[in-house]
Amino acid sequence: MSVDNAPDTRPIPVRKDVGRLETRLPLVELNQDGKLARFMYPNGVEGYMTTTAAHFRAILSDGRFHAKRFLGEPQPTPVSVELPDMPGFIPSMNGPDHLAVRRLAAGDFSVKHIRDLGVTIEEVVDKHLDRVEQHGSPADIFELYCLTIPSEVIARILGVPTTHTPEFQNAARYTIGGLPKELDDPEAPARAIKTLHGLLADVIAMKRAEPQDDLITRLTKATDPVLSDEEIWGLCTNLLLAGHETTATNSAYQIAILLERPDVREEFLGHPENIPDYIEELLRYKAILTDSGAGIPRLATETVEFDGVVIEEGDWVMPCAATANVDPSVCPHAPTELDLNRTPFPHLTFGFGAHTCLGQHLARAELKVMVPKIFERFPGLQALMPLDEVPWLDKGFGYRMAELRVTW
Amino acid sequence: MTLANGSIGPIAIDVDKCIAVGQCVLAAPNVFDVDDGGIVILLDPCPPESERPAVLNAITRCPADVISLPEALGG
Repeated sequence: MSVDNAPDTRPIPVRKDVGRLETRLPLVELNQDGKLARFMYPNGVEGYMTTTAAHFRAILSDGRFHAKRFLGEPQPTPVSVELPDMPGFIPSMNGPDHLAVRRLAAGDFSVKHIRDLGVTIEEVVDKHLDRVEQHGSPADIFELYCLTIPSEVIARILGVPTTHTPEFQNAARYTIGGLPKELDDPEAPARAIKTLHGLLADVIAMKRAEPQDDLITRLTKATDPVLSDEEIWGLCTNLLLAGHETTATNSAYQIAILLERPDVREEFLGHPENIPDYIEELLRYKAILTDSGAGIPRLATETVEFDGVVIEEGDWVMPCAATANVDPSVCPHAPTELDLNRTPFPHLTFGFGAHTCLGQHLARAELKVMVPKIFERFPGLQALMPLDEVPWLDKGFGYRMAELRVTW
Repeated sequence: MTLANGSIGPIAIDVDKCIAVGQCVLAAPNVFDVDDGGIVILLDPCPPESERPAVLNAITRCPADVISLPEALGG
Protein backbone atom coordinates (compact mmCIF):
# COMPACT_ATOMS: atom_id res chain seq x y z
CA MET A 1 0.00 0.00 0.00
CA SER A 2 1.08 3.56 -0.51
CA VAL A 3 2.08 5.97 2.22
CA ASP A 4 -0.92 8.24 1.66
CA ASN A 5 -0.53 11.78 2.85
CA ALA A 6 2.11 10.99 5.44
CA PRO A 7 2.42 14.30 7.31
CA ASP A 8 6.20 14.40 7.05
CA THR A 9 6.41 14.25 3.24
CA ARG A 10 7.99 17.44 1.92
CA PRO A 11 6.27 19.49 -0.72
CA ILE A 12 8.28 19.43 -3.92
CA PRO A 13 10.54 22.51 -3.69
CA VAL A 14 9.94 24.27 -6.96
CA ARG A 15 10.97 27.89 -6.67
CA LYS A 16 8.26 29.99 -8.27
CA ASP A 17 9.09 33.41 -6.95
CA VAL A 18 12.24 34.47 -8.76
CA GLY A 19 14.30 33.58 -11.80
CA ARG A 20 11.58 32.01 -13.89
CA LEU A 21 14.10 30.28 -16.06
CA GLU A 22 15.69 28.59 -13.07
CA THR A 23 12.70 26.85 -11.50
CA ARG A 24 14.45 23.52 -11.27
CA LEU A 25 17.55 24.59 -9.36
CA PRO A 26 16.23 23.71 -5.89
CA LEU A 27 15.55 20.17 -7.11
CA VAL A 28 19.10 19.83 -8.31
CA GLU A 29 20.57 21.27 -5.14
CA LEU A 30 18.72 19.08 -2.69
CA ASN A 31 19.56 15.72 -4.20
CA GLN A 32 23.19 14.92 -3.71
CA ASP A 33 22.95 11.23 -2.88
CA GLY A 34 21.31 10.04 -6.11
CA LYS A 35 18.51 8.20 -4.29
CA LEU A 36 14.82 8.45 -5.07
CA ALA A 37 13.27 11.41 -3.24
CA ARG A 38 9.72 11.36 -1.92
CA PHE A 39 7.63 14.48 -2.40
CA MET A 40 4.14 15.87 -2.11
CA TYR A 41 3.30 17.26 -5.55
CA PRO A 42 1.37 20.54 -5.93
CA ASN A 43 -1.93 18.71 -6.61
CA GLY A 44 -1.65 16.93 -3.25
CA VAL A 45 -0.55 13.53 -4.54
CA GLU A 46 2.65 11.93 -3.23
CA GLY A 47 5.26 10.16 -5.24
CA TYR A 48 8.91 9.28 -5.59
CA MET A 49 11.04 11.38 -7.91
CA THR A 50 14.14 10.12 -9.70
CA THR A 51 17.24 12.31 -9.42
CA THR A 52 19.70 10.65 -11.80
CA ALA A 53 19.80 9.82 -15.51
CA ALA A 54 20.35 6.12 -14.76
CA HIS A 55 17.25 5.93 -12.54
CA PHE A 56 15.21 7.88 -15.07
CA ARG A 57 16.08 5.35 -17.77
CA ALA A 58 15.65 2.36 -15.47
CA ILE A 59 12.14 3.26 -14.25
CA LEU A 60 10.91 4.05 -17.75
CA SER A 61 12.31 0.77 -19.12
CA ASP A 62 10.77 -1.40 -16.38
CA GLY A 63 7.44 -2.94 -17.36
CA ARG A 64 6.36 -3.22 -13.70
CA PHE A 65 5.85 0.54 -13.72
CA HIS A 66 2.80 1.43 -15.77
CA ALA A 67 1.95 4.58 -17.66
CA LYS A 68 -1.35 6.13 -16.58
CA ARG A 69 -2.24 9.73 -17.41
CA PHE A 70 -4.75 12.26 -16.20
CA LEU A 71 -6.26 9.82 -13.72
CA GLY A 72 -5.14 11.02 -10.31
CA GLU A 73 -1.36 11.00 -10.72
CA PRO A 74 1.06 13.55 -9.22
CA GLN A 75 0.94 16.71 -11.31
CA PRO A 76 3.03 19.90 -11.41
CA THR A 77 0.19 22.35 -10.78
CA PRO A 78 -2.23 22.68 -7.85
CA VAL A 79 -5.29 21.72 -9.90
CA SER A 80 -5.15 18.24 -11.44
CA VAL A 81 -6.06 17.91 -15.07
CA GLU A 82 -8.48 15.00 -15.26
CA LEU A 83 -9.62 13.77 -18.63
CA PRO A 84 -12.23 11.12 -19.41
CA ASP A 85 -10.93 7.64 -20.14
CA MET A 86 -10.38 7.45 -23.88
CA PRO A 87 -9.82 4.25 -25.87
CA GLY A 88 -6.77 4.63 -28.09
CA PHE A 89 -5.17 7.16 -25.71
CA ILE A 90 -1.65 5.71 -25.72
CA PRO A 91 -0.15 7.50 -22.67
CA SER A 92 -2.45 5.32 -20.55
CA MET A 93 -1.82 2.07 -22.41
CA ASN A 94 0.87 -0.48 -21.61
CA GLY A 95 2.57 -3.57 -23.02
CA PRO A 96 1.87 -5.06 -26.47
CA ASP A 97 -1.50 -3.25 -26.88
CA HIS A 98 0.25 0.08 -26.44
CA LEU A 99 3.00 -0.75 -28.93
CA ALA A 100 0.56 -1.97 -31.58
CA VAL A 101 -1.57 1.19 -31.47
CA ARG A 102 1.44 3.49 -31.20
CA ARG A 103 2.96 1.94 -34.32
CA LEU A 104 -0.11 2.85 -36.36
CA ALA A 105 0.72 6.54 -35.88
CA ALA A 106 4.51 6.25 -35.77
CA GLY A 107 5.16 6.40 -39.51
CA ASP A 108 3.64 9.86 -39.83
CA PHE A 109 6.00 11.16 -37.13
CA SER A 110 9.14 9.30 -38.25
CA VAL A 111 12.39 11.06 -39.12
CA LYS A 112 11.65 10.59 -42.83
CA HIS A 113 8.08 11.89 -42.85
CA ILE A 114 8.91 14.88 -40.71
CA ARG A 115 11.73 15.78 -43.10
CA ASP A 116 9.15 15.84 -45.89
CA LEU A 117 6.94 18.08 -43.77
CA GLY A 118 9.55 20.87 -43.69
CA VAL A 119 7.87 22.90 -46.42
CA THR A 120 4.49 22.73 -44.66
CA ILE A 121 6.03 23.88 -41.39
CA GLU A 122 7.74 26.85 -43.09
CA GLU A 123 4.45 27.78 -44.71
CA VAL A 124 2.51 27.68 -41.43
CA VAL A 125 5.22 29.64 -39.62
CA ASP A 126 5.34 32.32 -42.36
CA LYS A 127 1.57 32.71 -42.20
CA HIS A 128 1.79 33.30 -38.45
CA LEU A 129 4.65 35.79 -38.84
CA ASP A 130 2.40 37.76 -41.22
CA ARG A 131 -0.32 37.72 -38.58
CA VAL A 132 2.03 39.02 -35.90
CA GLU A 133 3.17 41.75 -38.27
CA GLN A 134 -0.42 42.72 -39.10
CA HIS A 135 -1.25 42.84 -35.39
CA GLY A 136 1.60 45.27 -34.85
CA SER A 137 3.87 45.99 -31.90
CA PRO A 138 3.44 45.31 -29.01
CA ALA A 139 2.05 41.78 -29.31
CA ASP A 140 1.68 38.66 -27.19
CA ILE A 141 3.55 36.16 -29.33
CA PHE A 142 2.61 33.30 -27.02
CA GLU A 143 -0.98 33.71 -28.20
CA LEU A 144 -0.35 34.80 -31.80
CA TYR A 145 2.59 32.58 -32.68
CA CYS A 146 3.73 29.92 -30.21
CA LEU A 147 0.30 28.56 -29.31
CA THR A 148 -1.29 28.34 -32.75
CA ILE A 149 1.49 26.99 -34.98
CA PRO A 150 1.77 23.53 -33.36
CA SER A 151 -1.98 22.85 -33.41
CA GLU A 152 -2.24 23.90 -37.06
CA VAL A 153 0.64 21.59 -38.00
CA ILE A 154 -0.97 18.68 -36.12
CA ALA A 155 -4.28 19.43 -37.86
CA ARG A 156 -2.49 19.13 -41.20
CA ILE A 157 -0.82 15.82 -40.27
CA LEU A 158 -4.13 14.36 -39.13
CA GLY A 159 -5.91 15.68 -42.20
CA VAL A 160 -8.39 17.96 -40.40
CA PRO A 161 -9.96 20.03 -43.25
CA THR A 162 -9.21 23.75 -43.14
CA THR A 163 -12.93 24.38 -42.61
CA HIS A 164 -12.65 22.55 -39.26
CA THR A 165 -9.18 23.74 -38.24
CA PRO A 166 -10.09 26.88 -36.24
CA GLU A 167 -12.60 24.95 -34.11
CA PHE A 168 -10.04 22.17 -33.68
CA GLN A 169 -7.38 24.64 -32.52
CA ASN A 170 -9.80 26.39 -30.23
CA ALA A 171 -10.85 23.15 -28.55
CA ALA A 172 -7.17 22.24 -28.15
CA ARG A 173 -6.57 25.42 -26.15
CA TYR A 174 -9.48 24.80 -23.83
CA THR A 175 -8.23 21.33 -22.98
CA ILE A 176 -4.83 22.04 -21.51
CA GLY A 177 -2.88 24.61 -23.43
CA GLY A 178 -4.88 27.79 -23.37
CA LEU A 179 -4.57 31.33 -22.19
CA PRO A 180 -5.17 32.22 -18.54
CA LYS A 181 -8.74 33.39 -19.13
CA GLU A 182 -9.54 30.19 -21.00
CA LEU A 183 -8.28 27.98 -18.21
CA ASP A 184 -10.28 29.69 -15.45
CA ASP A 185 -13.20 27.35 -15.87
CA PRO A 186 -12.43 23.93 -14.35
CA GLU A 187 -15.14 22.30 -16.49
CA ALA A 188 -13.64 23.65 -19.73
CA PRO A 189 -11.27 20.74 -20.48
CA ALA A 190 -14.04 18.14 -20.31
CA ARG A 191 -16.25 20.28 -22.58
CA ALA A 192 -13.40 20.78 -25.04
CA ILE A 193 -12.77 17.02 -25.16
CA LYS A 194 -16.45 16.57 -26.01
CA THR A 195 -16.18 19.19 -28.77
CA LEU A 196 -13.15 17.38 -30.19
CA HIS A 197 -15.10 14.14 -30.06
CA GLY A 198 -17.87 15.54 -32.26
CA LEU A 199 -15.49 17.29 -34.60
CA LEU A 200 -13.22 14.28 -35.08
CA ALA A 201 -16.25 12.00 -35.58
CA ASP A 202 -17.21 14.22 -38.55
CA VAL A 203 -13.69 14.13 -39.93
CA ILE A 204 -13.40 10.33 -39.51
CA ALA A 205 -16.69 9.88 -41.42
CA MET A 206 -15.38 12.17 -44.17
CA LYS A 207 -12.16 10.15 -44.48
CA ARG A 208 -14.03 6.85 -44.59
CA ALA A 209 -16.18 8.23 -47.43
CA GLU A 210 -13.31 9.94 -49.26
CA PRO A 211 -9.90 8.56 -48.32
CA GLN A 212 -6.96 10.96 -48.57
CA ASP A 213 -3.22 10.93 -47.95
CA ASP A 214 -3.33 11.74 -44.24
CA LEU A 215 -3.04 10.08 -40.85
CA ILE A 216 -6.76 9.83 -40.06
CA THR A 217 -7.36 8.05 -43.38
CA ARG A 218 -4.50 5.67 -42.59
CA LEU A 219 -5.98 4.97 -39.15
CA THR A 220 -9.39 4.17 -40.69
CA LYS A 221 -7.65 1.58 -42.87
CA ALA A 222 -5.52 0.02 -40.13
CA THR A 223 -5.72 -3.76 -39.88
CA ASP A 224 -3.30 -4.69 -37.07
CA PRO A 225 -5.18 -3.82 -34.98
CA VAL A 226 -8.35 -2.50 -36.58
CA LEU A 227 -9.31 0.73 -34.80
CA SER A 228 -12.87 1.71 -33.94
CA ASP A 229 -13.96 5.32 -34.47
CA GLU A 230 -13.72 5.77 -30.70
CA GLU A 231 -10.11 4.60 -30.67
CA ILE A 232 -9.23 6.89 -33.59
CA TRP A 233 -10.81 9.76 -31.66
CA GLY A 234 -8.81 8.91 -28.52
CA LEU A 235 -5.55 8.55 -30.43
CA CYS A 236 -6.03 11.79 -32.39
CA THR A 237 -6.98 13.68 -29.22
CA ASN A 238 -3.84 12.26 -27.66
CA LEU A 239 -1.66 13.43 -30.57
CA LEU A 240 -3.19 16.89 -30.44
CA LEU A 241 -2.71 17.30 -26.68
CA ALA A 242 0.81 15.90 -26.75
CA GLY A 243 1.95 18.12 -29.60
CA HIS A 244 0.23 21.32 -28.63
CA GLU A 245 1.07 22.91 -25.31
CA THR A 246 4.49 21.25 -25.25
CA THR A 247 5.89 22.84 -28.41
CA ALA A 248 3.93 26.04 -27.77
CA THR A 249 5.63 26.47 -24.41
CA ASN A 250 9.05 25.20 -25.40
CA SER A 251 9.17 27.61 -28.35
CA ALA A 252 8.16 30.45 -26.02
CA TYR A 253 10.91 29.45 -23.55
CA GLN A 254 13.53 29.34 -26.28
CA ILE A 255 12.50 32.71 -27.71
CA ALA A 256 12.43 34.13 -24.16
CA ILE A 257 15.93 32.85 -23.41
CA LEU A 258 17.24 34.48 -26.60
CA LEU A 259 15.46 37.72 -25.67
CA GLU A 260 16.96 37.73 -22.21
CA ARG A 261 20.50 36.70 -23.16
CA PRO A 262 21.99 38.85 -25.95
CA ASP A 263 25.13 36.69 -25.92
CA VAL A 264 23.10 33.54 -26.53
CA ARG A 265 21.02 35.28 -29.17
CA GLU A 266 24.10 36.40 -31.08
CA GLU A 267 25.61 32.92 -31.00
CA PHE A 268 22.34 31.24 -31.97
CA LEU A 269 21.48 33.53 -34.88
CA GLY A 270 25.10 33.85 -36.02
CA HIS A 271 25.56 30.15 -36.74
CA PRO A 272 22.44 28.86 -38.51
CA GLU A 273 24.23 25.63 -39.42
CA ASN A 274 24.41 24.75 -35.72
CA ILE A 275 20.78 25.46 -34.90
CA PRO A 276 19.80 21.77 -34.59
CA ASP A 277 22.47 21.31 -31.87
CA TYR A 278 21.51 24.60 -30.18
CA ILE A 279 17.88 23.47 -30.05
CA GLU A 280 18.99 20.25 -28.31
CA GLU A 281 20.88 22.20 -25.65
CA LEU A 282 17.92 24.54 -25.14
CA LEU A 283 15.62 21.52 -24.78
CA ARG A 284 17.98 20.04 -22.21
CA TYR A 285 18.21 23.29 -20.29
CA LYS A 286 14.55 24.23 -20.09
CA ALA A 287 11.37 22.42 -21.17
CA ILE A 288 7.80 22.45 -19.95
CA LEU A 289 7.53 18.90 -18.69
CA THR A 290 10.82 18.91 -16.90
CA ASP A 291 11.59 21.96 -14.89
CA SER A 292 8.95 21.71 -12.18
CA GLY A 293 10.09 18.20 -11.34
CA ALA A 294 7.13 16.74 -13.14
CA GLY A 295 7.15 14.58 -16.18
CA ILE A 296 5.77 11.25 -16.99
CA PRO A 297 4.51 9.52 -13.85
CA ARG A 298 4.53 5.77 -13.49
CA LEU A 299 2.43 3.58 -11.21
CA ALA A 300 4.05 0.58 -9.50
CA THR A 301 1.92 -2.46 -10.34
CA GLU A 302 3.74 -4.54 -7.74
CA THR A 303 6.08 -3.89 -4.83
CA VAL A 304 9.58 -3.33 -6.21
CA GLU A 305 12.88 -2.93 -4.41
CA PHE A 306 14.67 -0.26 -6.40
CA ASP A 307 18.24 0.69 -5.51
CA GLY A 308 17.67 0.41 -1.78
CA VAL A 309 14.15 1.87 -1.71
CA VAL A 310 11.01 -0.27 -1.40
CA ILE A 311 8.42 1.10 -3.78
CA GLU A 312 5.04 -0.26 -2.72
CA GLU A 313 2.43 -1.47 -5.17
CA GLY A 314 0.22 1.52 -5.95
CA ASP A 315 2.97 4.09 -5.39
CA TRP A 316 3.70 6.72 -8.01
CA VAL A 317 7.20 7.29 -9.33
CA MET A 318 7.98 10.45 -11.27
CA PRO A 319 10.95 10.07 -13.62
CA CYS A 320 12.31 13.62 -13.55
CA ALA A 321 14.08 14.85 -16.68
CA ALA A 322 15.07 18.14 -15.00
CA THR A 323 17.49 16.32 -12.70
CA ALA A 324 18.44 13.62 -15.26
CA ASN A 325 19.52 16.30 -17.74
CA VAL A 326 21.92 17.90 -15.25
CA ASP A 327 23.31 14.64 -13.90
CA PRO A 328 27.12 15.12 -13.90
CA SER A 329 27.62 11.54 -15.07
CA VAL A 330 26.06 12.46 -18.44
CA CYS A 331 26.65 16.22 -18.44
CA PRO A 332 29.95 16.81 -16.62
CA HIS A 333 30.67 20.48 -17.35
CA ALA A 334 28.57 23.15 -15.60
CA PRO A 335 25.39 21.11 -16.07
CA THR A 336 23.00 23.76 -14.75
CA GLU A 337 24.33 26.36 -17.19
CA LEU A 338 23.16 26.90 -20.74
CA ASP A 339 26.07 26.23 -23.10
CA LEU A 340 25.18 26.21 -26.80
CA ASN A 341 28.59 24.80 -27.67
CA ARG A 342 28.40 21.86 -25.31
CA THR A 343 29.33 18.50 -26.84
CA PRO A 344 25.88 17.15 -27.67
CA PHE A 345 24.68 14.21 -25.60
CA PRO A 346 21.31 12.45 -25.57
CA HIS A 347 19.23 14.51 -23.13
CA LEU A 348 16.10 12.94 -21.69
CA THR A 349 13.58 15.73 -22.27
CA PHE A 350 11.63 13.47 -24.64
CA GLY A 351 11.56 10.64 -22.13
CA PHE A 352 12.79 7.07 -22.41
CA GLY A 353 11.29 3.60 -22.78
CA ALA A 354 8.24 2.48 -24.72
CA HIS A 355 6.47 5.84 -24.31
CA THR A 356 9.36 8.00 -25.54
CA CYS A 357 7.88 11.07 -27.23
CA LEU A 358 6.41 10.00 -30.55
CA GLY A 359 6.40 13.57 -31.84
CA GLN A 360 9.98 14.48 -30.97
CA HIS A 361 11.14 14.91 -34.57
CA LEU A 362 8.14 17.12 -35.25
CA ALA A 363 8.90 19.20 -32.16
CA ARG A 364 12.51 19.67 -33.28
CA ALA A 365 11.45 20.52 -36.84
CA GLU A 366 9.00 23.15 -35.56
CA LEU A 367 11.44 24.69 -33.06
CA LYS A 368 14.26 25.02 -35.56
CA VAL A 369 11.98 27.10 -37.80
CA MET A 370 9.87 28.96 -35.21
CA VAL A 371 12.73 30.23 -33.06
CA PRO A 372 15.10 31.76 -35.65
CA LYS A 373 12.37 33.00 -38.00
CA ILE A 374 10.75 35.36 -35.55
CA PHE A 375 14.11 37.08 -34.98
CA GLU A 376 14.73 37.25 -38.73
CA ARG A 377 11.36 38.86 -39.38
CA PHE A 378 11.60 41.28 -36.44
CA PRO A 379 15.30 42.07 -35.93
CA GLY A 380 14.49 44.57 -33.16
CA LEU A 381 12.47 42.04 -31.15
CA GLN A 382 12.52 42.76 -27.41
CA ALA A 383 10.60 41.53 -24.39
CA LEU A 384 8.09 44.11 -23.19
CA MET A 385 8.93 43.41 -19.56
CA PRO A 386 11.72 41.67 -17.70
CA LEU A 387 11.11 37.94 -17.79
CA ASP A 388 10.93 37.84 -13.99
CA GLU A 389 7.75 39.88 -14.28
CA VAL A 390 6.06 37.82 -16.98
CA PRO A 391 2.84 36.30 -15.57
CA TRP A 392 3.27 32.62 -14.91
CA LEU A 393 0.46 30.10 -15.05
CA ASP A 394 0.02 27.30 -12.55
CA LYS A 395 -3.17 25.85 -13.97
CA GLY A 396 -3.45 23.12 -16.48
CA PHE A 397 -0.98 20.62 -17.72
CA GLY A 398 2.27 22.32 -16.83
CA TYR A 399 3.73 25.22 -14.91
CA ARG A 400 4.61 27.74 -17.63
CA MET A 401 4.61 31.32 -18.84
CA ALA A 402 1.13 32.67 -19.54
CA GLU A 403 2.15 35.21 -22.16
CA LEU A 404 5.20 36.57 -23.91
CA ARG A 405 4.65 40.21 -24.78
CA VAL A 406 7.19 41.73 -27.16
CA THR A 407 7.88 44.92 -29.07
CA TRP A 408 9.88 45.46 -32.25
CA MET B 1 35.08 -7.27 -30.96
CA THR B 2 36.70 -6.46 -34.30
CA LEU B 3 36.22 -9.14 -36.91
CA ALA B 4 39.08 -10.47 -39.04
CA ASN B 5 38.13 -8.20 -41.96
CA GLY B 6 38.27 -5.04 -39.81
CA SER B 7 34.53 -4.74 -39.29
CA ILE B 8 32.53 -4.82 -36.04
CA GLY B 9 29.54 -6.90 -35.17
CA PRO B 10 27.48 -8.73 -35.84
CA ILE B 11 24.86 -6.18 -34.74
CA ALA B 12 21.50 -7.69 -33.82
CA ILE B 13 18.16 -5.90 -33.73
CA ASP B 14 14.90 -6.96 -32.07
CA VAL B 15 12.40 -5.39 -34.46
CA ASP B 16 9.44 -6.47 -32.31
CA LYS B 17 10.52 -4.02 -29.62
CA CYS B 18 11.09 -1.04 -31.96
CA ILE B 19 8.98 2.00 -31.03
CA ALA B 20 9.92 3.97 -34.16
CA VAL B 21 11.55 7.05 -32.71
CA GLY B 22 14.50 6.86 -35.09
CA GLN B 23 17.31 7.59 -32.63
CA CYS B 24 19.45 4.96 -34.37
CA VAL B 25 19.22 6.73 -37.73
CA LEU B 26 20.28 10.00 -36.17
CA ALA B 27 23.18 8.34 -34.37
CA ALA B 28 24.43 6.00 -37.12
CA PRO B 29 22.85 6.79 -40.50
CA ASN B 30 25.24 4.50 -42.37
CA VAL B 31 24.17 1.50 -40.33
CA PHE B 32 20.45 2.03 -39.67
CA ASP B 33 17.46 3.30 -41.62
CA VAL B 34 13.71 3.23 -41.02
CA ASP B 35 10.84 1.97 -43.17
CA ASP B 36 7.67 3.93 -43.99
CA GLY B 37 6.25 3.00 -40.61
CA GLY B 38 9.33 4.37 -38.85
CA ILE B 39 10.54 0.88 -37.87
CA VAL B 40 14.28 0.17 -37.82
CA ILE B 41 16.06 -1.43 -40.78
CA LEU B 42 19.57 -2.77 -40.23
CA LEU B 43 21.56 -1.73 -43.32
CA ASP B 44 24.82 -3.35 -42.32
CA PRO B 45 25.17 -5.89 -39.50
CA CYS B 46 28.98 -5.79 -39.74
CA PRO B 47 29.99 -2.18 -40.45
CA PRO B 48 33.60 -1.00 -40.55
CA GLU B 49 35.45 -0.32 -37.32
CA SER B 50 35.09 3.44 -37.96
CA GLU B 51 31.34 3.12 -37.25
CA ARG B 52 31.90 1.79 -33.74
CA PRO B 53 31.30 5.07 -31.84
CA ALA B 54 28.17 5.78 -33.88
CA VAL B 55 26.78 2.30 -33.24
CA LEU B 56 27.48 2.54 -29.50
CA ASN B 57 25.75 5.92 -29.50
CA ALA B 58 22.74 4.36 -31.24
CA ILE B 59 22.62 1.65 -28.56
CA THR B 60 22.71 4.28 -25.78
CA ARG B 61 20.07 6.44 -27.42
CA CYS B 62 17.60 3.70 -28.33
CA PRO B 63 14.88 3.98 -25.66
CA ALA B 64 13.53 0.48 -26.27
CA ASP B 65 16.70 -1.63 -26.06
CA VAL B 66 16.31 -2.84 -29.65
CA ILE B 67 19.97 -2.93 -30.73
CA SER B 68 22.76 -5.13 -29.45
CA LEU B 69 26.39 -5.59 -30.29
CA PRO B 70 28.29 -8.51 -28.72
CA GLU B 71 30.96 -6.27 -27.15
CA ALA B 72 28.39 -3.82 -25.74
CA LEU B 73 27.03 -6.75 -23.74
CA GLY B 74 30.49 -7.57 -22.49
CA GLY B 75 30.68 -10.60 -24.81
